[in-house]
Amino acid sequence: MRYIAILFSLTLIAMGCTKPLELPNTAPDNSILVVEGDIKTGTASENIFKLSRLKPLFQFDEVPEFNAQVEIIAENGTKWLMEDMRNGVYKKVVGLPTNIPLALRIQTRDGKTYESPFQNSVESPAIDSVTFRQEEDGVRLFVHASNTSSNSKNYRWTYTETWENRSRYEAFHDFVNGDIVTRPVGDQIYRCWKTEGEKNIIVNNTQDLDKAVISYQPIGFIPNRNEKFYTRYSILVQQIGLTKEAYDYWEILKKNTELTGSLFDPQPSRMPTNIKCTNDPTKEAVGFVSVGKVSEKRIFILNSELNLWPSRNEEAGCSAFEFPRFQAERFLTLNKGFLPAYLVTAGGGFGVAPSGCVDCRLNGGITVEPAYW
Amino acid sequence: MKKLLPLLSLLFLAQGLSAQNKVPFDSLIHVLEKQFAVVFYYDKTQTDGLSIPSTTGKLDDILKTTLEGTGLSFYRDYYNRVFISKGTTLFTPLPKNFFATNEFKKDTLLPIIQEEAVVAKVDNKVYIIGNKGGTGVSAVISGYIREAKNGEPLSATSITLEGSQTGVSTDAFGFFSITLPKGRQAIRISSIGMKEIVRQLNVQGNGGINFEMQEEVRSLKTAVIIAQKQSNVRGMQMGVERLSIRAIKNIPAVLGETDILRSLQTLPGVTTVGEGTAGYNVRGGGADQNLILLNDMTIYNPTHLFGFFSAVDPEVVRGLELYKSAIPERLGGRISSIMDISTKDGNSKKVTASVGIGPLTSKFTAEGPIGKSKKTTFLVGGRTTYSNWFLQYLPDATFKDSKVGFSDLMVHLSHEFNDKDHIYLSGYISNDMFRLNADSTYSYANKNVRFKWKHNFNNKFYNVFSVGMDQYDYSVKGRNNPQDAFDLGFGIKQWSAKSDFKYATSNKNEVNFGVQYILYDLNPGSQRPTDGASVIKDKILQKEKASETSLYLGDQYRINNKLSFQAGIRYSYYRTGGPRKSYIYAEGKPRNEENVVDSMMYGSGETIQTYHGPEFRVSVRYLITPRTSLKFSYNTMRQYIHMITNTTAIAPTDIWKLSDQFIKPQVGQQISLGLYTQPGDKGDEFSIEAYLKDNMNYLDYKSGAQLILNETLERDVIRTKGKAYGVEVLYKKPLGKLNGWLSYTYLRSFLKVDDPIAGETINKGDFYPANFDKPHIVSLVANYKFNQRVSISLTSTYSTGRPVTYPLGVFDMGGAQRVYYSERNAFRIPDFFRTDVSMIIENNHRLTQLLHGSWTFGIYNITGRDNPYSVYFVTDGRQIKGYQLSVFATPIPFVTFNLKIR
Repeated sequence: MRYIAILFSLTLIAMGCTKPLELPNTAPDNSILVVEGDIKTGTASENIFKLSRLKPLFQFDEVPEFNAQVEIIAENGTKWLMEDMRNGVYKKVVGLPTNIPLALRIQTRDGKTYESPFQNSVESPAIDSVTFRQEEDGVRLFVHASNTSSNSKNYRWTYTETWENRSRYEAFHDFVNGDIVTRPVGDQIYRCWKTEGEKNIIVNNTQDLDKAVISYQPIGFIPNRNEKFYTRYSILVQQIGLTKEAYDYWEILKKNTELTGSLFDPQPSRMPTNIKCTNDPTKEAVGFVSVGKVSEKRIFILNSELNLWPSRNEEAGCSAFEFPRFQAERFLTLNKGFLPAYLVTAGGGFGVAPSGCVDCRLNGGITVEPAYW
Repeated sequence: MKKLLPLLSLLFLAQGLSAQNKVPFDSLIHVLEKQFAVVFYYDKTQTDGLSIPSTTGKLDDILKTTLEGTGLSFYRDYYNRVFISKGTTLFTPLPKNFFATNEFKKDTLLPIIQEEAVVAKVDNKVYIIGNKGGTGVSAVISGYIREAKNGEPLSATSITLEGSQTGVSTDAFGFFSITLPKGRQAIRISSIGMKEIVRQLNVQGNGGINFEMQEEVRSLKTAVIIAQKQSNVRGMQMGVERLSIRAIKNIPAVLGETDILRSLQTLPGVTTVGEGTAGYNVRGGGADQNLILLNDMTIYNPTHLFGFFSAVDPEVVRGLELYKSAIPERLGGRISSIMDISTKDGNSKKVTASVGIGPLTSKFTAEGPIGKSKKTTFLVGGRTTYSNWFLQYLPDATFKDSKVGFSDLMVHLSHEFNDKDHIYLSGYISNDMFRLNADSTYSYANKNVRFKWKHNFNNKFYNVFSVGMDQYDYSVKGRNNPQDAFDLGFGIKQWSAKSDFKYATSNKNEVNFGVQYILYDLNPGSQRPTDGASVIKDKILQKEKASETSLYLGDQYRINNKLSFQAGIRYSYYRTGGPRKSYIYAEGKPRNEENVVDSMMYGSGETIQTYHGPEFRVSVRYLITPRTSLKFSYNTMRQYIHMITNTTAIAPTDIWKLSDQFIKPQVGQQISLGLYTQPGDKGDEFSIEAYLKDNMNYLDYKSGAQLILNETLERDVIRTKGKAYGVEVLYKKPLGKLNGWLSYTYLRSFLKVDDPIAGETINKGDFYPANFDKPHIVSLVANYKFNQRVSISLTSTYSTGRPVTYPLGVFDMGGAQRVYYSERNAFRIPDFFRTDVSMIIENNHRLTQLLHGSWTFGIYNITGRDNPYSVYFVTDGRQIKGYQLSVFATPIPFVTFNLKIR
């Protein structure tokens, strides 16, 4: 009376697709003021605040907030007025006290006053080192800090990367008004320096760690063959201690933009802010102003310190054409995208190459060597 | 199958023998049969031309007079059967020493042996129950109803007295108890998918009798939820959905895997936040407000693979019941719904085994009796997967380079000592593992065991006692960097004991009472470094311990044929105790680090907090006409355990939290009103149920809440209150070539922050739509049977998209563009619509055939609509883009071939 049932089934599947979703075309409330920047205490720190208005989802251009009066105020009444840079940026290099609670006050041109609460400066331990590790897919950068005395447990890191970008040909000539002329000394276009800020929010805490030690905190990743390491690279890492509320703010901001998606991600939460409009409670603001002492560290990485990192883009298409001087000048007159690249020693002709292979500024960056370089 | 042949021949024989012609003798025999409560057996060729001179007086005298001089003689046995035969007289009792043992010491002629109830298998036979001579005009008959093929108990089977409205239903053990007037009675027994039977009884006194029912072959492959006929109209219960495994198996399933929880979602009032997600919502309640019982074992995570599959193998399941509103007082612990899944008992007639090979899983089941007595049966069912390949087809990059595995195993043993004592032992294990992108491995497991003992004190009174242990654990192993290698764990364990008594004082009145005790032992989280270089802190959160004791008493009473009521009270007492260190916060201030005023150390066993309260369960049924009824119910529920989750769908890493001095128990109440009617005479049913619910102390979370490894979770939660209301309209056509159901659900569910000291609110403190607020849902399940071998099924569902919080504006901060979101759940994702079809073609039904095969062809999502599984937003350069991800975005054809070897 035994029987065995054999079930066999075959399923053909072709599943899954992702398609753009039409987002609601609601006009956002552009009365919301966006404030970015922290009050940096200690010896002569650059305090920068950027003010703008919330913009619609698909708008490309920013809406900077002009003509505002931005000042840092101390509880004892001392004030430091920020300079208006005329582009929504307000900044000043000042040495702020670390032992007096400080706040930010903003007066916008429409007469509204926004204030952050008075906060004590949060201590931050010094950064011990910034290290890098070359892995299969690129280079990872880490920050390390041992924190034995400080009571801060939450940190945020920001960084500025600078790297030298050289053009393929070091040109000593220029093409001006149909003539190939000698390029003046000091007008070089061979070495450029590019600078970039961080793209992601990097926060962490030592809450769950055994020792209050920051070890191998990832701060950046540079994928293989990236131009940043063609010659020389430098990164300046800044570390600021945060209160729990400020830490939460950055965490939420990060989660809301960087992770929101699948059903297993947390729902977007309301963003906390510590900026209030004091003379109109209906006006909202976005942002969180922390008060803290910044510690920073700069390191340099040479191309030679990395394994098999290229020193230039071999696929850039930088072949040059050699002509006698007269023909070269004619060619350059007709082809605007070229520049004289080098002098042909035998015969006095010139090599001409695409401008991008001669003028490093065309790949971004400026030709002024930074002071620390 | 061998059993069927003698049965069939017996039926033919009985037909040949009994009175079918309209000759005077036959009609007079009918008169006598009615008059004396006997059944005649005779050969009509022998009685041709006979007539009965008189039908008054004693039966023996009448027959003697009639048969005198015809060469015929009669014999009347103890079962009131009268045999008329030529020549020799029939004599049914066996000779006294036939068994040559002393088994029949007392009185071999007892009509029914009291200890061992007979199985009433035959139609045209009168079964005598009980001893003559007792007092009273009625008697209590009890027994079991089982499936003839495999001895499986049949629950929710109705037993009604023919020609009256007296009726009862069997319980989960297939047990019934009915009070019948003494004398000759006919009872009608009907059950889902079973051939209805009528049995003749001669009730002389209290006694036992068992019945066996045959599967209704014709409706074998038609997907119908035929609850017992008229039960929706006449039954006391409202807001209950029953699904038999037959119905579940007929709902077209994705990838050809029959799925219990998926099929549940075709029923009105049951929704999910997304296709293929774990967890479900009943009548606008939270996913943690549903209790899932598998043979009384609490299953904390009933899904595999993020929720794509149910963790209970359908091959071992007999059926499920979902209580949405009138929850019986014997059940409690969650405020929204209770799902009661029961497994089959092992086949008590023969050992059978089956093996299934599917595209994603392989499974086996074996069941049968143990030993010769066949009093002990076993059932074992297991499943395992090899679904790694399938992940490669998932569109989400998260699933690439990932591995998954799952398995589950169910073991169920039952032993029958006698008609009074049954014991059952169930065990269940499920395991899940998945690794995302080769660095983190998640795993979770359910482990459950339960022992149950059913004891019948007498025909009217029985007890079920059970003890068991339920456990759920998950762990995450992070191996990304030696510096932060860790093991993270969570676990909940509960021991429980339960004693349920049921006392049927009469058909009109039934009393239920009992006690339940649960001991919770919860490990809220632990984190351990697993590498010497790891700087991860060794962190083990304090254990949470609590107990929940409940007492209940309920009474179901039929005032008259029209009006019945059921009233119950359940009183639960909850206590959480030490050892534990807790903080004391400043009164009326947000609970945070700054407002800590003191800390308190509770000793081992010291009470930290107690909560207790009554739960009321009342329902009333009024029959307006015999085919239309009006029902009302009022329910209150309490829940002491909370799921801590911040995501839209249930995630495998969600944890549970017991109520303590800060987190109050969830309390819910529901009022519902329903109209049930049976239009026409084809068994169609139409019902409308409306309800209004509210609940308190459902948890939401502060912005940036830390849910995992948080020693002071009270600082991150916000108490909310919820309200929900809705209407469910259902038209069901259970019979005929075309059958199925159509339902419409209107459902609204809202939450509102109700925590004055939370320090922050959601949606400015006003009501906001809950994630599971889906106003309109239309669902159609239809089957059409062309003939005995070919049938098609169609399932179609439409629902409003779930609410979602959308981005409204952007701003620059932290080096990138950031998003400013709308108020919570202010928008909705696109509506959901899906239609699945399947066609079943069976081989011939010849009984002698060795191989039985059937083909199932189907298409899942035949319209290919790309229903959003989730929506998400990414910052693409300087723009915020919204995307929707659909998992089953194209029609998915599937073919399944089933082969049974006998």
